Amino acid sequence: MQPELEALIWKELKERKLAYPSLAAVMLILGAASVAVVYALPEILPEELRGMIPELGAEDAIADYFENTAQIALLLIAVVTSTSMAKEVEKGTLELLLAHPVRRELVALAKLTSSLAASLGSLALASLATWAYSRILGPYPLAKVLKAALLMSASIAYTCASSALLGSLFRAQLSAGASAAALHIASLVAQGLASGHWVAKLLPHYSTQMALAAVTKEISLKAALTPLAYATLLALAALVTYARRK
Amino acid sequence: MIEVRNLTKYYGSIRGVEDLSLKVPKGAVCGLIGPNGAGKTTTLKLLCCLLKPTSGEAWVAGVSIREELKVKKLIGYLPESQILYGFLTVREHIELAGRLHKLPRAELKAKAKALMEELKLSQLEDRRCGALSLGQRRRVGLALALIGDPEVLLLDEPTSGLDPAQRASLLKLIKAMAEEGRTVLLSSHVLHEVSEACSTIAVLREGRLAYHGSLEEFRERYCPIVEVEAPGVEKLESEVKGMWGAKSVKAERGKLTVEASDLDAARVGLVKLLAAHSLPVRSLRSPGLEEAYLKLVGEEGAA
Repeated sequence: MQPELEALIWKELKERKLAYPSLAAVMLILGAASVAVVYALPEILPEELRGMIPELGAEDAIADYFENTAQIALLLIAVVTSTSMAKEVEKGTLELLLAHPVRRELVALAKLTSSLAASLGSLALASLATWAYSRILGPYPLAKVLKAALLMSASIAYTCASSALLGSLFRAQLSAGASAAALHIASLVAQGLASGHWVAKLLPHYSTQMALAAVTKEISLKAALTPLAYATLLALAALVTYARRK
Repeated sequence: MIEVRNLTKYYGSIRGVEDLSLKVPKGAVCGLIGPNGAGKTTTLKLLCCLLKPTSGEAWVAGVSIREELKVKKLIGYLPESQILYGFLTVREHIELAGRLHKLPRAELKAKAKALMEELKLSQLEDRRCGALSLGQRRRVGLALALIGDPEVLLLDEPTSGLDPAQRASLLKLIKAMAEEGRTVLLSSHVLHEVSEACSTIAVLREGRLAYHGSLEEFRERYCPIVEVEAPGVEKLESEVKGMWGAKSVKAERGKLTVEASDLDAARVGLVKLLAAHSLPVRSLRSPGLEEAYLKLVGEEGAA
C-alpha cells in the first residue's frame, strides 16, 4: 500500500473513531434484539395469542437481523460515508491535505476504503455474534449465515460507493447525508416493488433481497455480481468526481 | 525561485488575478500586499496547485505548476485560515503531513521533533489541535509547511493571530529560512512586517500587479519624502526650496518635510545643512511603506 494512502486511512479511522464503533454497536444490537425478541416472544404474548403464531426459531431471528441490517445499518453506512466525503470540503480541511504531495483521488479512496472496511468488519462481527447468540433458539448452519452476510457485503459495497459519489457532489454534510439516505430508501423501495420481476435482478439492492432469501433458501452468490458491478462503477465515479471538485 | 508569467485566474466572471507576472529569486523573501480581494490568496493557491489557472504559466523551483505532485513536493504552504484536524495531537498532525511527503518513519520522527523544538511546540506535542490557541495553530501550520523541507514557502498572512513576541520570532524565522536558501512568498496586511522581513514586494490591486520591485524603490517612487526633526529647523524652509530637486517643502514647528527627486542627496544635504546651522538632528526618516502603499492603492486599500 502507498504510504500516503496508509496515512490517510489512519487519519480516517482516527477521525471516525466514534462513528465506526457506533456502527458496529448498532449492528450488534440489531442482531441481539432480533434473537432476544424471538426468544422472549412466547413469554411476552398473552396466553390466548400464543397458539395463533407459528413457533419461531433461530432462522426467524437471523432473517430478522438481516432485514434490520438492510433497513437500518445500511442507512447508517450511507450517511456515515457520504458525510465523511463532504465534511472535508465543508470544514476546509481538504486544502490542508492537498497542500501536500498527495493525489486527490487518494483522499477519496482512503475515505471509501475505511468506510467499506469498517462496515464489512461490523457486518462480519455482528453476523457471527448473532449466529452464536441464536443458538439459544436452536441450531442454525453457520454456512448459511456467512452466505447471507456475503450477499449483504455486496449491498454494503454498493451503498458505500453510491454514498461516496453523493458525498463528493455536495459541499455540505447535511445535503450529502440527506441525499444518501434518500437514495438508500428509494433503492430499497424500488427493489421491493420489483421483487419477483426480472427487473429486480438489475437493481442494485438485488443482493440485499437475496441475502434475506438466503436465510431460508439456497441462493447463488452470483446475485452479488450486479451490485458489485454498480459498486465498482460508482466508486470510480466518486474518485473522479472528488478529484475534480474545486 | 518562483517565476510567474501572465497568470490569470477567473472564478466564473469574477477576476481573481489577471496577467500577473513576477519573479522571486532563490533565497529572497517577497511580500505580496494589496487590499482585500486583490488576489493575494488566489496567487498563493495557484502557486501551490490548489487552484488551476485560467491561463498563463508559473514555475516553482523550476517546475511548472501544471505538474501538481512535483510542485507540492517542493513547496510548503501555510493557508490563511488556520484550520487543523482538531482530533489529532500536534505530533500526530505533523507526522501525518510528513507521511504524505513519504518521509521514512525514523527520519519523520526526528524531523517532527526538531520542528516542534524550533517552533516551541514541544510542550504541546500531545495536545489536540482542537484545544490550541490561534497562535499555537499558526505555529503548527508552519510546522506542517516545513515538514517536507521545502525549497519554496508560500505563506498566507503568516503572522495573523500572533502576539508581538510571536510575530517577531516568526519574522526572524522567515528571514533565517531565506538565508538557508529557501524562497519565500508571503502575503500580509501588516506593512511594517513586510518591510522588516521582505527584500522585495509585489503590490496587487484588483487582481493586477501594480508594483513589483524593491522596498526602497517603492518608497522612493510613491512617497519620495524625507522628514527631518530638529529644534528651529522650520527656519530653513526657504533655504531648502529648490535644492536636491525638491518638489515641495513643508515646515512645521521643529519639523521639515521635503519631497525630493533625489532622496539620497536630500538626506545627506539636510544633515549637512543642519550641521552648518548648528541644529541638533533629532530624527531623519523617509516615511514608511504605508504612505507609499496608500498612494498606490488608494484609501480603499488601507491596510
